[in-house]
Amino acid sequence: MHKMNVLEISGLEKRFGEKQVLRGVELTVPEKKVYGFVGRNGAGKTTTMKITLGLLEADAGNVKVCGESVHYGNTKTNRFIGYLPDVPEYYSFMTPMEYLKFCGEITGLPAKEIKTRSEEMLRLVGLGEEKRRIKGFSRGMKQRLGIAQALLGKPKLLICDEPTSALDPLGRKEILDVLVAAKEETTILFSTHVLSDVEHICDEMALLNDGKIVMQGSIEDVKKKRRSNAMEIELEKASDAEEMLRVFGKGQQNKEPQMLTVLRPGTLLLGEPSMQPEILRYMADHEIAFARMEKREATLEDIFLEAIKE
Amino acid sequence: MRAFLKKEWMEMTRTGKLLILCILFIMFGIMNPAIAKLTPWIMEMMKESIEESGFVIGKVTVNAMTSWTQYYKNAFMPVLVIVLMSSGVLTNEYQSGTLVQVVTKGLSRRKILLSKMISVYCAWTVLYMALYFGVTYVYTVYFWSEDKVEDLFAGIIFYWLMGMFILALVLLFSTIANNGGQVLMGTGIVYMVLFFLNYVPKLQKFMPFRLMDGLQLTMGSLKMEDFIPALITSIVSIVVCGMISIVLFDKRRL
Repeated sequence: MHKMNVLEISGLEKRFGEKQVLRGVELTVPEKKVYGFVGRNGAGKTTTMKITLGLLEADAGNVKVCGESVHYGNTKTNRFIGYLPDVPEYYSFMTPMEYLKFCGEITGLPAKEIKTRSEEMLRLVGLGEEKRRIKGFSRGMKQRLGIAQALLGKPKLLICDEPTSALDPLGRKEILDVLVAAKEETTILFSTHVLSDVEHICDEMALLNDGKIVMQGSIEDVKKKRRSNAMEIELEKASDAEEMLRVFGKGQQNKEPQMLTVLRPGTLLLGEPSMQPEILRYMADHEIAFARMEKREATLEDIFLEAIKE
Repeated sequence: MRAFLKKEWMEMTRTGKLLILCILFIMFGIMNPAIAKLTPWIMEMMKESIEESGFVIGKVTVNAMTSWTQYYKNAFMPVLVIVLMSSGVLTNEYQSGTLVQVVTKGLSRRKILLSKMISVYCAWTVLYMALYFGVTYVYTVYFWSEDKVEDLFAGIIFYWLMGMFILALVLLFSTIANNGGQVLMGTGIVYMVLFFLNYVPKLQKFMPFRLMDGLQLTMGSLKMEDFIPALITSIVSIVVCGMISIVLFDKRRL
């Protein structure tokens, strides 16, 4: 069976008054993936998600969920989607179990399934024993309950809007673990500006900047594309670093870019790999010892910064 | 939709709203016969100071009509209370964002609005009929069991309809406004406009305000026919407000 795209967004545009927030977003999310939706605050992530949920009206473009078009207002496509808003709010007078029952009933699940599924989901997010009303819940607990309610109806697509942004490191880890566990059942689109989260759990990612997708693909592809061949050279003595910098620091005839730059005190970065033998020869001749020398991996952060600069 | 209605009920009972409403409506209901019953005694207490200023007080007689006069005089209070309580019925949910989750779970907006309408209208109907009217009725019959009051029930129902009309406005503004204050302002403005239109003699008999004159029906100064135009405009307005609300709510940003 050929792989279906759970979400297809094409040419999506949206403006709020004077501000053009989305300028032709193109995004395709394949089935059974954890898809990271990355971008700075205000890049248009939430807007894109809200349009997908029929909560906002697009000015132009098309959004399809499981092959069906999304309409503003009452949209039938929501039956495929589980949604976790950035700051989820619930009816605080209910207990988690009651809230899930309520969710199940409005979704139209059979009573028996609601019960078993609610228990299963609350266990998954670690709220199985929680009998208190939602009123006294912490942010992390609300976020976890949010995942439970979003997954209750076995959605084909789980949309999470910045699920980890407001949490402490422990809460963040809990949410990421739950999302990884949920990956077995559903496709996850999750927005964030925390790149380490993307690196931890996502299979694919898209980078939204200034209302456009500037990069998308699997995490490895994205990283490969920008893999730099730069070398990090850490020297035993800081004075040696200064000496090397004096010799190789300036480009030849001051025209070419610098061969060596300072990364940290005592550590130099070699931008041009072809110069490697020459550097090593110089070090051998002058008996300069190095502590460490390795190829530098481009982090998503580098890629991110580079992409939004363009 | 049943689930959403159940949630509304849970909210009313668990947040203590229902309790407060019940206590207030019972208090309002007791007040009418109580004031009537206490009038002679109050007059007696104040007799001296009133007589000092030159008025002479004869014998004060109170009966069931005194109680019903109080009923109509005070009936604006239950209306005001239910309006204040209902002003946040949708706006509170916009502000907290709770409806977003309900909508994204696939419950249609119409069902949400319909549930809200049902719960507001039912709350008003039960509280007004069972508590405000019921309590006044029981005490009035208890205190003045021999008094016969003519055409009582029609007037009572008219006033209930007036409440329904104002609640229809509250619900309509709830689909546009962002907070309870705006809902009250919108409803207040419409009320004021109608109030001024009521000074136009030709319009008077069509105005919902006529529905508050049930006492005159009981006293015989107005007849049933005099209420029919106002009845029709009120019912039509409630239906029209309801339909406009549905259209607006369908397109509202949550």
